[in-house]
Amino acid sequence: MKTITAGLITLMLAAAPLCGLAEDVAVSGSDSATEPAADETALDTELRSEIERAIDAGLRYLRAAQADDGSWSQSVGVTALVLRAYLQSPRGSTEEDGPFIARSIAYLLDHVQDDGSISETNHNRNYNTAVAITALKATGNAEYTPVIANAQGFLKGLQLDDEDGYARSHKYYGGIGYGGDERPDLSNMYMALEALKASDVDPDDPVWEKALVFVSRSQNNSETNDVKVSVDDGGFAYMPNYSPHGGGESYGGMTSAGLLSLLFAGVDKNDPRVQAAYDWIRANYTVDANPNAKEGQGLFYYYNAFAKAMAAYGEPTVTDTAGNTHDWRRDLAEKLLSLQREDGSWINSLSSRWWEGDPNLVTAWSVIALNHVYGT
Amino acid sequence: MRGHTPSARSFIRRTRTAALATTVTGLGIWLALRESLSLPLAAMAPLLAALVPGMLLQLPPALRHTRPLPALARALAGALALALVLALLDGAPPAAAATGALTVALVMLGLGAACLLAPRQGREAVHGLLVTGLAALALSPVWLAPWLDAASRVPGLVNALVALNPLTLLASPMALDYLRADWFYRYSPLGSLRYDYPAPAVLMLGWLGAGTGMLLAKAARRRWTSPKNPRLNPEVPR
Repeated sequence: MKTITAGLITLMLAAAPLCGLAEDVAVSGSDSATEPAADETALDTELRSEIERAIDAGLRYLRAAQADDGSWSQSVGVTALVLRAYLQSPRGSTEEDGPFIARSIAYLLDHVQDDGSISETNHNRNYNTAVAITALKATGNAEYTPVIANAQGFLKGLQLDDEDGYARSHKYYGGIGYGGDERPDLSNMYMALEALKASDVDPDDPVWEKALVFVSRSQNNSETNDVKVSVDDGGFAYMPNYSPHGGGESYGGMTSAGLLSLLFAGVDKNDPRVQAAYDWIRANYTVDANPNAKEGQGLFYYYNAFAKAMAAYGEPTVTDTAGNTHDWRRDLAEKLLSLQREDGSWINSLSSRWWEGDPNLVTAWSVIALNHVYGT
Repeated sequence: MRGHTPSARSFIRRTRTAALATTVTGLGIWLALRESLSLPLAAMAPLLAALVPGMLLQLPPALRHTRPLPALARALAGALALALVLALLDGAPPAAAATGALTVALVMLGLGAACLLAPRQGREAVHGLLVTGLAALALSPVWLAPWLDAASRVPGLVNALVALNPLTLLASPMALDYLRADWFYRYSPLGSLRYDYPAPAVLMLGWLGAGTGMLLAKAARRRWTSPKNPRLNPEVPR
C-alpha cells in the first residue's frame, strides 16, 4: 500500500506542472538544481520559501490571465516577458510543461514579420522584438535559431549610425529607440542589448561599440561623456540630457538600465563608467521608490532593472555612501512580497506610465525580479 | 480675365493672391520646420507647411465665395498639390507623398465642410473656432498631460484621443510614431502609455466620411429651404 501511495504521490508531483498545480504542491520542497551555493546569497531558508511562494502565486495568476490566443494583454512584449518569467522561475518551466507555454510561443512566432521583427504593432518593434528574442532563447529550443538570427539582424538594423545619416558626433549615434521612430533612448537600448547578449551576438560585433557611444552619452558623468551634461552625478538619464522626470536628471530605473547596458557590452567592472553608475546606486540606494523619479512612476521597471543590474554586478550587498550595508536581495524581496496582491499579481496603483497599470506586465516584471533575487 | 465682370475679376485676383501667399508661406514654414523639428516630426513638415497656410489663407476666401463648393474644391486641390510637391522635395517616397497630401486635403475638407454648415455671415467666426479647435486637438497630448495617466485607466479613452488628433491622420501614411517624438515625449506622458494608432485607411475614411457627410447635409438643407421646394411653397408644381 505504501508503495502504491508513494507511487501516486510521485506521479502527481510529476504531472503537476502539466495541469498548473505545481505551484501549490512543491512550494516547501527545495529544488537542489536551483539551490544556490550558501555563499552566493544572504537569503535564509524562510525567505527563500516565501519568495518561491510569491513566484508561484504570481505565475498562477498569470496562468489564469492568459488569453485564448496564447497571449497576455494581446501584446508580444508582455507575452514574451511572461514566458521568460515562467522559463526562468525556480520551477524551471519548459515547453513540455503544457500547452499554455507552447501557445504563448506560438503567439510570438505568429507575429514574426518579413523584416525579422517580432511585433504586433509598428511602434513598439524594438521592445517587442528584443523581449521576444530573450524569451525564445530562454526556451533552449534550437528550432527558433533562424527566427532569433533574423530578429537580431532587425535590431542591429535599428541602430542609428552613419548609414542613417547620423555622424558619430551626433548625440543619437549608436542608439536604438522604440523602433521606426528614429529617436533612441536608453531604455530601449538596454532591452536591445539584453536580447543581443542573451542570444550570444559576437562580442566583437560593431553593434556593441556603437551602442557604448550612445550609452556613455546618456550617463551624467562629465569625466567619460563627450556631450556636455547638465547634471554630473554619475547616474543615467533617459537619453543625453533628458529625463521624463524633469530636466536631465539621473534616476533609478535608468541608472540600473545604464549599468546593465555597460555590462552587456562587455565593459569591465572597474571601468570608471561602471563605477560611477554603481556609486550613484550607492548614493541613492532604496527599494521604497524609483529614486529621483516622479512619485510612483516607473516603479516596477526600476525593481526589474535593479534586480538584474545588481545580479549582473555580482555583489551580495551594497554599502551606501553613509556607510550602511544593505542586502539588496533581502530588501527587494521583502518589498516585492509586501506589494503582492491577494490574487498573486502586482500592479502599480500610483501610475500607469510605461504600462504599469497592466497587471500582466507588472507581475511578469516582478516575477523576473524575484527570479534574479532567488538566483535562478 | 477677359469676359469676366469687374467683381469676378477682383475675386480671381484675390484668389490668385491667396494661392501665391499660401505657396510662399508654405515654403517658409517647410524650410523652418525641417530645420527645427527632429524626427519623426520633421517628416511631417511638408504636410504641416501645406495645411497651415491652406487653412488660414486659402479657406477663408473660398468660404466667402458666392459659389463656395467649387471654391472649396480649388482650395483643397491647391493644398494637396503644395503638400505633394513639398513632400517629394523632402525626399518622401511617391506613394507616401501622395497619401500624405491626401490627408492634408481631408483635413481641409472636414474643416471647410463644417464651416459651410454655418450661415454665410457666421462662417468666418466658425472657421476661427474650428481652426482653434483643430490646434487644440493637435496639442491635446500636452494640455491634457496632467490627467492622461488617470485617463489611461478608462478603457478606450487614450485611443480615442489619439484617433481624434489630426496629427494622427497626417502621420498615418508614413507610420510615424509622433507621440514619441522628442518634443511630445518631453511634454506629454501619452507616449509612455499604452495606445494604438488606428489603421490609416480607417482614419482616412473617417475624415472623408465626416467631410462628405457635412457637405451632403448642407446640400440637403439647401434643397429643403429652397423656394422651389414644393413642401415649403405649395405653388411650385410637384
